[in-house]
Amino acid sequence: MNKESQKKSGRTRGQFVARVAAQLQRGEHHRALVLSFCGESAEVMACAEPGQFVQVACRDISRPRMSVPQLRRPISISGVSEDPIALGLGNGHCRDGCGREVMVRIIYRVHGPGTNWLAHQAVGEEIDIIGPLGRGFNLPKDKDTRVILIGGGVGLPPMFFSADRLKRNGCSDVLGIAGAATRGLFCCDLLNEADGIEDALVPGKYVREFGPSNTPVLLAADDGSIGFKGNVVQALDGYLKRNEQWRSAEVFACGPKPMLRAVANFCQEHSMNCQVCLESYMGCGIGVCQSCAVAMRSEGKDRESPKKYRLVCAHGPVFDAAKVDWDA
Amino acid sequence: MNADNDKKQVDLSVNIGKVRLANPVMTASGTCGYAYELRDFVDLGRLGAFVTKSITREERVGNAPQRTVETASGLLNAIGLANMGLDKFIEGPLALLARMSVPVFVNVAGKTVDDYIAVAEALAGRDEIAGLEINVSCPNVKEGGITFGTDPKILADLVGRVRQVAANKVLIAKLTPNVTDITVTARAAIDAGADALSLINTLTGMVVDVERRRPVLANRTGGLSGPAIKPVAVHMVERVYREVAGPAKVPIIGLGGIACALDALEFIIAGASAVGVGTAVLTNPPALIEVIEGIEAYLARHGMSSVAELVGSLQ
Repeated sequence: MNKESQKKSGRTRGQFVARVAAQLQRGEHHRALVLSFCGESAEVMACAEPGQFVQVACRDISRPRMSVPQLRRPISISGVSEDPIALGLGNGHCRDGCGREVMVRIIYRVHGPGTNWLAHQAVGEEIDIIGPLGRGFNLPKDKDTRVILIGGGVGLPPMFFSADRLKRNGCSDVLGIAGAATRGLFCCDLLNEADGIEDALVPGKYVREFGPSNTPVLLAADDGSIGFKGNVVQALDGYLKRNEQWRSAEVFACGPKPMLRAVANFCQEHSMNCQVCLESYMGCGIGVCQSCAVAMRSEGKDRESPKKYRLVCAHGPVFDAAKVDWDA
Repeated sequence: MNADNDKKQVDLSVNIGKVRLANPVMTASGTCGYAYELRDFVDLGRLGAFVTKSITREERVGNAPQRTVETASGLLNAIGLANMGLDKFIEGPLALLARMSVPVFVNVAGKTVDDYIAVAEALAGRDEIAGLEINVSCPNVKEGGITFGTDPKILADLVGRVRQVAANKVLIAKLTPNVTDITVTARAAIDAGADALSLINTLTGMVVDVERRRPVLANRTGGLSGPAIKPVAVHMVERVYREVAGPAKVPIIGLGGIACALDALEFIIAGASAVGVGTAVLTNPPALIEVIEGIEAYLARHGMSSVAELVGSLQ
C-alpha cells in the first residue's frame, strides 16, 4: 500500500464522484471503464490494492425517485494509475485544474439493467463510486516468489492489477493464465500475437492489459477457439508438468465458483498456496447488510456445528482457498 | 431570503416517549449495522436517533446464502438476524454507540418470550441506550418471530412483559405488515404499554429462478423493502395514525422505502412523528442527512415552525 499518500488524506475509502475518462469494448460482452478521480478521491484511490473492488451506483444517485436499480454493482479494480497509457488509453485524457488525477479501470460484463446503464455512460459523465473496498491479495514479501495469476471470465481484471503491483514490488516471476468458455468471452484486448499461438503451453504476450507489467500469459478456452483447449486448471497442470520450478509458486485466482473450487482443490493436492478472490451477490459492500455471506470450513470436527460465515465485502473478497467451504 | 435564518426558525425535534430527538430521522434496523461500519460514509451524529440491527440473546450466524436479491424498485432479503449476540454487543459496539451522542434504540429479537426478556433485561440497565425496539415481525426466522407479530394476544403478552423488565426505557414495537388488519396489532401493542410504533417491517415475498425452478433465496422467502413497498407503508401509517395511534397520542415511526426527503414527508403528513431510512442507506449512506435537510427546507418553504405541525396534517 502506498502509505505516503494514505497518510496525507487519512482515509482508506470513501464515497466519491468520478468522471468517465474512457469506455472501451473488451471482447463481445465486456467493457473497460476508466474512471478519473481528482483531489482527495485521487489520494484515496491511489492506495487501492489488487483484489479490492468499488461499488458503482448504476444510476443517477441524486434522483432517488428515479430509482431502478436499487443496489450498487460491485466491480473489481483492474488497474490504478496516474498514467492513462498504463490503462490502455492514449494521452489527452487528463483533466485540467483538478490537482492530482488518478485513473481507475474497472472491467465489467454488460449483463442486466445496472451494467446496461453503466455501458451507456459516455466520456465526461459522472458516476458515484464507493471504494476502494474489501481486503485484497497478500502480495509476497519475497521478490523471488513466483506467482501464478489465474483469471476466468470476468475474474480476469483483478489479475491485471495484481500483475502491475507485483511488478512494482519487484517480483519478476509472474505468470498469467486467462480462461474463458470461448474467444469472445475474454474480457481483455487480445493482441494479434494471440492468433498465431503455436504451443499453447508456452506463455506469451497475448493480452494488452498484461503489457505494462510485462506478464506472459497462457490463454485457455474451453472450446479451443484460442490458445489451450481446456480449462485453466488443465492449462496450469500442463504448464507445471513442463516447468517443475513453478510448483513452488503462489496462486492468485478469481473467477466463477466452480473454477475457483477446482483451482483450490488442485492447489491443495499439489501443496501450493492459493488465494481466491470471490464474487458474491452483494448489498451494501461495506459490511452492513450481511448479504454476501460465504461459508468457511469449520475448524472443529463437529459437522453439526453451525456454519461460520464470512462477508465477501468486508472480510474478503480475497480468502485463503483452504479456508473456504467449497461444498456449502 | 436568508436560508440561515429560516433554518433557525424551524424546530425539527420530536418526542418518542420520554426521549427527545433533535430531528425525526433515524436509521432502520438492519440497514446500518452496529453503526461503526458506516462511519467512513456518513456523520451519524447528525441523526435524530440510531436503531441497531436486531440483537438476540445468542449469536446468530444467519441464513445460508443467497440472502438477498434485487427486485423491481425493491430488495428482498433473508439475512436471518445474523448478529453477534447480546454479550458481544454490550462489550463492543455499545461503547461506540454511546460516543455518538444521539439516542440509541436497540432492536431486540428472539425465538421465545424468554429470549426477548433476557435481552431486554440486560439492556434495561445500560445508560448508553434510550430504548428498545421490539422486532416482533422479522419474517426470516423459521423458528418464530412472525407469530409474535401476527397474533394480537401473543404480541400484547410479549410487549407487556418486556415493558415490565425495561420500565425505564422507551419501548417501541415494530409491527409487521403481513397481517389482515394492522390496526388490531397496533392497538394490542399500545394497550400493552408500547411508547411508540414502528411501521412497517418488510413484506414477505419470493423470487423464483425459473431455470432452476427454485426460489432465489436459500431461505425461500424473504422480506421486501425499498421504494416498492412505500405506498403500502404510507397507507398503513395513515390508517394506524387515524384509527389508533393518533387518538392514543402514541407516536409512529414511519418506514418502508424512504430514499429522500419527499418520501419522508409523505410519511410525516400521513401521521408519522419520525421516520426510518433503511434500504436507501445500503446504496447511499448520505441519504440519511439529505432527508433531514430536505425536511427542514420543506418546513421553511411552507412557513412552518416545527415538524410537529406537519404530523398527520393529511387533508
